Amino acid sequence: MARRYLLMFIAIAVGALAIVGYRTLYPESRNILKEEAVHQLSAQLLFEHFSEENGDQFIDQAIITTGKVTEIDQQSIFLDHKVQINLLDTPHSEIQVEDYLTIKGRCIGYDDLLEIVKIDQATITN
Amino acid sequence: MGKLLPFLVLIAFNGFGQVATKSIARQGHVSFFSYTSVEHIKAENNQVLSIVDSTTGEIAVSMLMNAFVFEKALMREHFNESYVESDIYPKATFVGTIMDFDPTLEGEQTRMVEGRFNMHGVTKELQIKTKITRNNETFILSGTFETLVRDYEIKIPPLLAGNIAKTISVDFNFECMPYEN
Repeated sequence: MARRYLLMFIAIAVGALAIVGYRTLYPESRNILKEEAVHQLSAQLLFEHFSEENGDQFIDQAIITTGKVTEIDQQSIFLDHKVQINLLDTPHSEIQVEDYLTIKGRCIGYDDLLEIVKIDQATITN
Repeated sequence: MGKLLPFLVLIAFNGFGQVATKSIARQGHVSFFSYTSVEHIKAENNQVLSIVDSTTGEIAVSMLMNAFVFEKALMREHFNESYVESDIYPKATFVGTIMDFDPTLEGEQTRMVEGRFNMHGVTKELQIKTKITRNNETFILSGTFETLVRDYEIKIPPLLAGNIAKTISVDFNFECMPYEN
């Protein structure tokens, strides 16, 4: 009897180790919507941080930003001309220029060629 | 990178005030593949900026390394933190010229693009065979090329050497629309 319990214990322990090992080696991809936002600020202020070379704190972080839609193209929208947002699901037909939006997404950095901040994996939260 | 930036800006904004026809792809596509017997790694970046000046044939490409999306989170972490060190070198850029480019030609033309590619702080001269398709005012540039990991001083730990190919295949596709600055 004791041997049966021991075997069961070993099997459960090995199974648990395998699951932990797999999740350590292959963690799930990030779900930005489920992450807690590290920063919340206006699109204009976010841009100013980067243009003053003080934006590293936002890179690869889940952030919430707010601004007026100034441009809508095939794959992205722009807030206040300065922040380019790549939305995950929302059809662009539901968004109008001049709308005020609050979005949550991942800040991927600053493109100094066009002087824009880029955010991907974004979701509208207002 | 610092030396390349003024040149990129010059192409983008035509600082000498000449009349030029510029096209831009704000969300160009670049993907790379590494095939080994141990593991296949693929990453995609759909946020690549590309500007083409059709009067001069000059082209500038800029991509944020952080924007590459991988199948597995750990691959992305290794790529950004250990290999390309995106906190130190956040962007890769290419500045070059489309040789013998005829912007008036409707339909397809295949041309060599020659220029300088900078990644991980290393600049290399590249020649890339590129298919250019003109459809009204839009230019679509696409192609594939191969590059060596060691050319860019990317250090792979011996333990993972079998997981990452020595030669990486790169695909690109930029749909450049007329750009009014």
